Amino acid sequence: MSLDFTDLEVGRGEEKLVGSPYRRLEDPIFITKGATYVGDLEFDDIAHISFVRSPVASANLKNVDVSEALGQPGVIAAFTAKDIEIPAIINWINKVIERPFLAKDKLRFVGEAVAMVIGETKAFAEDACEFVNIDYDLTTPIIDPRQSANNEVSLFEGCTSNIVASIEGGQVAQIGEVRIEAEFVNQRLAPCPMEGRAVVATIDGEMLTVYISNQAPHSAKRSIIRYLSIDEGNLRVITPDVGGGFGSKIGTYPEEILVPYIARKLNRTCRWVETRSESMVSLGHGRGQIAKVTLGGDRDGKIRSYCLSVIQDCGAYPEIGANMPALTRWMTSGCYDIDSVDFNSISVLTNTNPTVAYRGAGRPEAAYAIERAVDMFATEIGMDKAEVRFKNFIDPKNFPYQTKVGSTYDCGNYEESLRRVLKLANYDELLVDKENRIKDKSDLLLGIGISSYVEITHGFPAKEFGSVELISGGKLSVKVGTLSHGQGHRSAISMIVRDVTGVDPCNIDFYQGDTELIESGVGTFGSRSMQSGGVACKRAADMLVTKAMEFLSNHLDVDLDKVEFSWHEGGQFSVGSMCLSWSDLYRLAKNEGKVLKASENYESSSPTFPFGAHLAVVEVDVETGKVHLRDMFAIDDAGNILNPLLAKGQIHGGLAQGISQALYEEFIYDQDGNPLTATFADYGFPTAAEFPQFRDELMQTPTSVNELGVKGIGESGTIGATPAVVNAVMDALSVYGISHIDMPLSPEKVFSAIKIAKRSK
Amino acid sequence: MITSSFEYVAPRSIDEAFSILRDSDGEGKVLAGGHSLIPLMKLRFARPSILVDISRIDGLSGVDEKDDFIEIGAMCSHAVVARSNLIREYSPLLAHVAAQIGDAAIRYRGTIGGSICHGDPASDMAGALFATGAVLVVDGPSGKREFKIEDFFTGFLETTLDPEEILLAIKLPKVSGKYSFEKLQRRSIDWAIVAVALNQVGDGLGVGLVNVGPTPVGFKLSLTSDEDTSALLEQFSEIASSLTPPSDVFGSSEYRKEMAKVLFSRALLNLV
Repeated sequence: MSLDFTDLEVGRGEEKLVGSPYRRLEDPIFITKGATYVGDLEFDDIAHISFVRSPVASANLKNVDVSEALGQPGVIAAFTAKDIEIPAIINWINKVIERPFLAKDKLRFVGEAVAMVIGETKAFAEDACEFVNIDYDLTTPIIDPRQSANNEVSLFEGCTSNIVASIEGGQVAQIGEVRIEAEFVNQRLAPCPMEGRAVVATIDGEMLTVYISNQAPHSAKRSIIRYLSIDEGNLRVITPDVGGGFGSKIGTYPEEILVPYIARKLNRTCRWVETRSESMVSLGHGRGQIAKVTLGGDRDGKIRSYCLSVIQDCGAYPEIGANMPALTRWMTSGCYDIDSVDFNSISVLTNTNPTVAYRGAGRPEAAYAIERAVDMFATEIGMDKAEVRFKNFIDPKNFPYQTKVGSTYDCGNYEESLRRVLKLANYDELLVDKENRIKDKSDLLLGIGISSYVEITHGFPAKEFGSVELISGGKLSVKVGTLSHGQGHRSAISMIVRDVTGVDPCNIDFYQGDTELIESGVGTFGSRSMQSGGVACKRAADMLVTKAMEFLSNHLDVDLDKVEFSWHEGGQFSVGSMCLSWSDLYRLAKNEGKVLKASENYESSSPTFPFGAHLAVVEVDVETGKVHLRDMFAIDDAGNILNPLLAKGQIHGGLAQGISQALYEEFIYDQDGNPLTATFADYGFPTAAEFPQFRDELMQTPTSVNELGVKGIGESGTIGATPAVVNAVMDALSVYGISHIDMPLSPEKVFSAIKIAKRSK
Repeated sequence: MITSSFEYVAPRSIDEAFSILRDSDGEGKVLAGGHSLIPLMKLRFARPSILVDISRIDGLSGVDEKDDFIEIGAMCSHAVVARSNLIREYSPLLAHVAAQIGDAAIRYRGTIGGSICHGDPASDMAGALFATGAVLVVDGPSGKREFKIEDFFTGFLETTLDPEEILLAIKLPKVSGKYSFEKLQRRSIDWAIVAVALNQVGDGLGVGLVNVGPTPVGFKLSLTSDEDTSALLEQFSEIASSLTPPSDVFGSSEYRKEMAKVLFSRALLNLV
């Protein structure tokens, strides 16, 4: 029996699908058969790779000895840096910095790959790893980014300091009657995708095929070509189902290049599936930003000036994390119309796992800084936290709006989203409840936290590929260069194509993640896919209809304007009284040896700026410091919504991650650089039990940047939720005069802050 | 995340299990539900060479009523303990605590005996057994032995169990007094930062403390009258000041001490 959700609710009528809660086409197979991940693929005679990783954060590496490992049962081979004949990776920011594929001369963070062991089974390989001897002399690590910025010794020889990137900005003139100064830490997070990194490399003659769990297969292909010096035509990269990425699988890691390298060296299919323990310490981390804010304003509630200074922790090698401050900068002033705004940043090296993009990537940090600062300003001048926001929002009439840091917001209505969330949450009643609890000297204080956010999606507009081809039986084959890793692109794009062509989504074959089938592609990150790949597929579908009509006009030798097309009834072409289906068109074209196909490389003119307002309600147990998130309200506006089910799925997941940063998650290193949260027992990865039923509504203000009117919705939840939750806790604690506690707001941190506040009273 | 290699045996009788353990020269380890042992093996912190799975041995997973006590088989899962009518009637605290351990998957796999023999100070179950005054029935080469719960734990993840011995059952006095359980956690599936279990037993108040030292901790406070909370708080405070809770990412030792007091006073208030 095959499960077909699509006939349960919508999609059979003669209505447009786009905008409807059409059930995900992906799910029946996920629920019945299960997904196919790289680790599930079956190959004959496959060898298994395990990595030996650095146990220390900083050391001079003297020798790595694999001879004992080689003698263990089931071991095929073992390699160290000496055996890897690929030149080190020259860093993209600083050419002096090189990252070897396996550690060479130095150990730079706990978890850095030092050696690899290849076994007949994964268990043999893991067992033999224990027999690799690493000889090193410890050196003093630098863990704290603040210390790294000022450190006299630089971590890389040839670098004058540990600062690898910076954005200059003046200190803005302080304007206003009130000055708020604060430091906010956006702690390090481990991305924790359900599926970790996984690669299989298999060889057939000259042809190398690499299966990889990744968000951008075409870019993985380019990396492998570059480092393995292989002809483009001899490499195929395939991405099967991907169990989450959150940004951590955009880039291609050294380990992932080594798998095909070793497969070629051994002339044997090789697989590496990382363990959770490896993933926690060496899959790129997110956030890791320290912000200093200075906000100036008047007692009437007007914010006059705002300056954000950022220290970004890059970890041991500058990866994409080093560039996060650029994204933070774009969103410095948030939803507000402020006269004077400035930003500066430095990105520094430490002896920790490198940072990368993580859901929100630089924008959550910006939203957190300004939303916390605005709350502190409201408290200082004794004004309601919603009111102070209403006084400073960019006027909806002023879009497109150029900010003082140069971002051009396409469209927005921040007042409306805040108004709606206040209504949804019954804000006035909450305020009364909060005051009553204070009056009653309750041990369970209520806190209300507001966050108004605006963020940037498709921040780096780039061409994206989409094609639609008519195939046998009147079905369509759709190919796209983006890479769904949980988002549901097959559903969304099939809906778009169906509304143009009339072809039922069940008759649309959807392809992604195969460099042989899809000629080019950028991938999925930065909430870019619908506004790039979605539009490309829409245009390709439009073009296919036009091509089909042209074909028919030629075929029947009638004027083009005599050929009509309607998407109703599965797509109908008519010429006079004659009526033809897509299936007829396919047959006619085939008889003439023609293929009806259209493709588009669409490049959007500019990014888009989704926005919204979130409101968190917390109860704080003052005797223990434990925070209970009672309610979470969200109004999110990402322009036109293609499918509210998909959009809400993105919002709910994002809210969960955003809340979790506020309350639970932190990847902690001790002062020697040892990870203290390397398992799920210690790292505060949340479960469903940690969250209330989310109460969210979608708002739709279409953008004119693209013809679908869509913005991205993948990251909004993480951007708005974090400051809302922290603001709520600080709102509850304001009776004690507590203005800020750094995340995550663990029971002990909250308890200690209350204790100190009580003592100083 | 992959264990080192080991042999696995699943004996059908307790005598067979004993002889396997005897022949393994101390390298054998009894496997109950596996929810503590298997993660340790996957992290390679534990590497027993033989795992003796006792789940197929008859008679280890029942709950029986005796004259003045009930006997719970060591292989009863937390879910069984939480649901058992006998336990709910004669030791309601235990059922109440079992229902809050970990998550549903953990409660269905994890066992009361496994939890106790692991000797983890963070075990909710150990706290509950202290509060109710449990007795542990052990069998092995030197014959059947019985331990009071307070004599069972000897150090961090260490018990008085000999490597060749197996915990058969837990005997609980039939109690009808009031009880309560207060647990402070970060996430719902986390071990308690601190937890306090109370059970009125006769003229005393049984107290079990979770995660406040290298071993599970418990004691009995004398109860002169129901209203005597300030005297109890004072007694508890004195004992709490000598505790040495661990410091970790969930909380410092100092915080845990303070929370033990807060939770104790809440538990007193919430006795039902």
